[in-house]
Amino acid sequence: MSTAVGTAEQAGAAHHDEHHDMGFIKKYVFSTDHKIIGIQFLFTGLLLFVLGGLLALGIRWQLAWPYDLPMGEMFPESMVNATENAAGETVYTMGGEFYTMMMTMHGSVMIFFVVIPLLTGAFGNFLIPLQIGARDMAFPILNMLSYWMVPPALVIMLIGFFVEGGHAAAGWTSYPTLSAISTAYSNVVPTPGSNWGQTCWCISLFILGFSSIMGSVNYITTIIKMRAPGMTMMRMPLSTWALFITAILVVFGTPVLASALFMLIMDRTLGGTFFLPRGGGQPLLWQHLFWFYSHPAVYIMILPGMGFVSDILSTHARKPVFGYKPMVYSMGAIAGLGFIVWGHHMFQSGMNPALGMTFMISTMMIALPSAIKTFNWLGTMWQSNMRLNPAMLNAISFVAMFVIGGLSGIFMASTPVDIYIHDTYFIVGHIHYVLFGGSMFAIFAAIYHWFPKMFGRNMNSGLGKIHTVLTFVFFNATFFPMHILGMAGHPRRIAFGWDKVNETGYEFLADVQGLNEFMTMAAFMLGAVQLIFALNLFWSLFAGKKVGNNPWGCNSLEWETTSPAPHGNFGPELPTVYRGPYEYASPLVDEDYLPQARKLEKA
Amino acid sequence: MHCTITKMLLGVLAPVFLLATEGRADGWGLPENISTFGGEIDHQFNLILVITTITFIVTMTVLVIALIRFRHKEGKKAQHVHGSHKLEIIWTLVPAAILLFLAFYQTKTWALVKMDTPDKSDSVVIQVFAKQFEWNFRYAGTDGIFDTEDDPCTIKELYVPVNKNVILEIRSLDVIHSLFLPHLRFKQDVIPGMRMSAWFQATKTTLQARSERGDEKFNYEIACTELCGIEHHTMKGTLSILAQGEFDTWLAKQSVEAAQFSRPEIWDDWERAGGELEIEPLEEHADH
Repeated sequence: MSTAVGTAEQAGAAHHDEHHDMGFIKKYVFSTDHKIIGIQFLFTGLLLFVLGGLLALGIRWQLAWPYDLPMGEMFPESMVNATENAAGETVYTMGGEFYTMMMTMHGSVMIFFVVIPLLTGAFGNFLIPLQIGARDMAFPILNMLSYWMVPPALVIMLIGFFVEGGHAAAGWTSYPTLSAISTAYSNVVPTPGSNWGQTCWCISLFILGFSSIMGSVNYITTIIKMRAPGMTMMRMPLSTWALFITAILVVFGTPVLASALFMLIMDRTLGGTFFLPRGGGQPLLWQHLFWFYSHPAVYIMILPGMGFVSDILSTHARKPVFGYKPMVYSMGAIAGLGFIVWGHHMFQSGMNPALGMTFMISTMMIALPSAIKTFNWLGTMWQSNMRLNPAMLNAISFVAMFVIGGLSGIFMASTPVDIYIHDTYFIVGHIHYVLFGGSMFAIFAAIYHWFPKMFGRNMNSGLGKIHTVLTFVFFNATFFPMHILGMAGHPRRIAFGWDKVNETGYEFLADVQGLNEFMTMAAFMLGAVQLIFALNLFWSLFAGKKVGNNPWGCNSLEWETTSPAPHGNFGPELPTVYRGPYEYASPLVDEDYLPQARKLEKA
Repeated sequence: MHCTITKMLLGVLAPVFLLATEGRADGWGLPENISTFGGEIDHQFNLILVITTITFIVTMTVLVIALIRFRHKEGKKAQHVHGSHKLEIIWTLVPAAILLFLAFYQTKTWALVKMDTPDKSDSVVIQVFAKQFEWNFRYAGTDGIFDTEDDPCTIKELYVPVNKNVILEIRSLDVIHSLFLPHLRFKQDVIPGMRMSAWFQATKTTLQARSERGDEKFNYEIACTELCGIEHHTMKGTLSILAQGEFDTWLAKQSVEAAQFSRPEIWDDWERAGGELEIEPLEEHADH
């Protein structure tokens, strides 16, 4: 079947080649070329990574030095508190309103606008057709629309910063009733962002959901129908496998989030009471629906990274991936189990404790496929011939940090331990080890690895190594102490634990406040180090060393074509695949790699 | 024996994890435990800490050795191997056994804390009303019955007797809150529209703790751990654990006072809302 499609496609490509001058707008803006769309997602994601990062630094400043906000006069008066100190100088502080808003937007931006678009949007689009030997996605226009859903969603999300009452401030999880009542009632303070801010948040994510769904439908169809001749499912690179499984998760999960968001919008604007006890609604319903999407979303944010890292480790270790099939099956197991563990976010919510017990068992079991993958990565590195370039260093960092993130998850999976550490900094540490230590290191690795294929130039290796090592150090200095804060009982999402100048806050946290200051300093360094990456990226775009088709000596199909790949990806003929993607160090040839598309004469 | 292993491990790791807590107030690491079930929770925590630390050290050792031994050498070829069936089976079954053991080993503690709620007849029942941004507590008074004239109320201060089961009946009047007593390893979210019931038994009085810590002002604290609005971080309180005699005296005194004065009007609102809660819009509420 794939052969037939291939032939039809070849005819199409020959036709395409004649119409190459499409004009700037069609070629780079409203492009239907999956590579351009991938690059659009890449830059959008990286740009918003800056915004999310700045919000994070704001959060960190407040947690370390809540008594003093420098440059407080820059912010609108309603957002900051100004007081005069003994010396008659005006001292600004951030206060709960500003903090809660920043914390909410940091989470929302990073998860929905940075990590998911970078992993599935940027690399999903760029890699899938290239790695399976297709000319483009199955539905190129749908693909273009999936990117162009992002700007409206983004604009609506950004408008939220400027509406009356400020942006949403109910956390990225937006639990009702706090998020559902437009004047979230209290005798004292109406919740900020409860006018338009929260509604903007809902509408923005609702639109963004369409982007995910359209992208995923495309990925699934393309992978099933458009593989090059000889490219069986079990010869696909693990990146493509990961993106395939992720797309299935997105297709099943996102509609549930969309319906929950729509119910929340109705509660907020049309007098609905899905989540309000007033009209017989149930706030817990949101938690079930939200986590039914958002727990699989955690895997949406890590599975592609696992795939990229498997490819990158194998390539630069010059050794076949250890246990290809177990890798595929364990990703399938993660996806399957991923849909029956959502209740572990709700152990303390008042959900039936007997149900908590079943969710604990399923959650413990989902650690198993992750463990299998880790051992297989270590197996890949053992007896290998490793090139320690920036891509490889980031991939190794991913493995190391994912081990910590995975192991710290076991604490939360245990229902009795979760009683104590639930909603403390322990969970904040855990999610950052998975999302930054996991996903972000995988994204860095993927950028260093596939940059030559995207732009025909290599990134600077020295700068890349410095960036990677410093990121690794400051990442750990920033996030590891969160576990210690969590053990001390430091609740998450509080504007400060202990204010040592005014002696307010929780006294039992006074002893760990020094750690908060240390983490903030490390976080600022972590932010600063990313400038090296930005510099390297932009410098290399224009002045990086030009590379050939296959600078890494890689086996998979994307390296068969030119760098950057032309419109239609491959020349007049699609490559034919003769073997799996990981034939490194094969005894059949002299070189230490054997591309999937190279035909060997039978010995 | 298990405790010894934990301590040894913590001792070895102290320079790295900085967990040294002995002899300090709360310091780093888990704070002092003063509830009957807290010890079991800490035991589970430490058990997982031991297992995960060992796993971490083993995997990282392999990774670092690989990094050192298998660096790139020109002309060298890596081992051409696609995996090992035997290894896959080992590293599937061993973690599976450990994880299943952990899962089932936890269930007893979970059941003790969340499912085996003690009988009301030999417990002190206290009603908790959570609202933005304060914890309100109501006691049954000397007659032991709620909704009578002598029910004392306290705001942001919870008084309980030591060595006696305390059942908290928690409700929220507006948004989701979560009652967290770190030293008691107690946490329960409270959902508007639902009545949550949770229990604990304290093992040490505040006075004892003060003399042990040599801090006359020391108090056990109450925190809110579910984001409940912009002043979430101010939703604090103190927990006073009294000896049974003192608690009885305190309650008697409060009951007499409560019977003399009419209770704050806000409590009537909560009654009308049924405690079973309606969330009224701000405007309507202002009418009362």
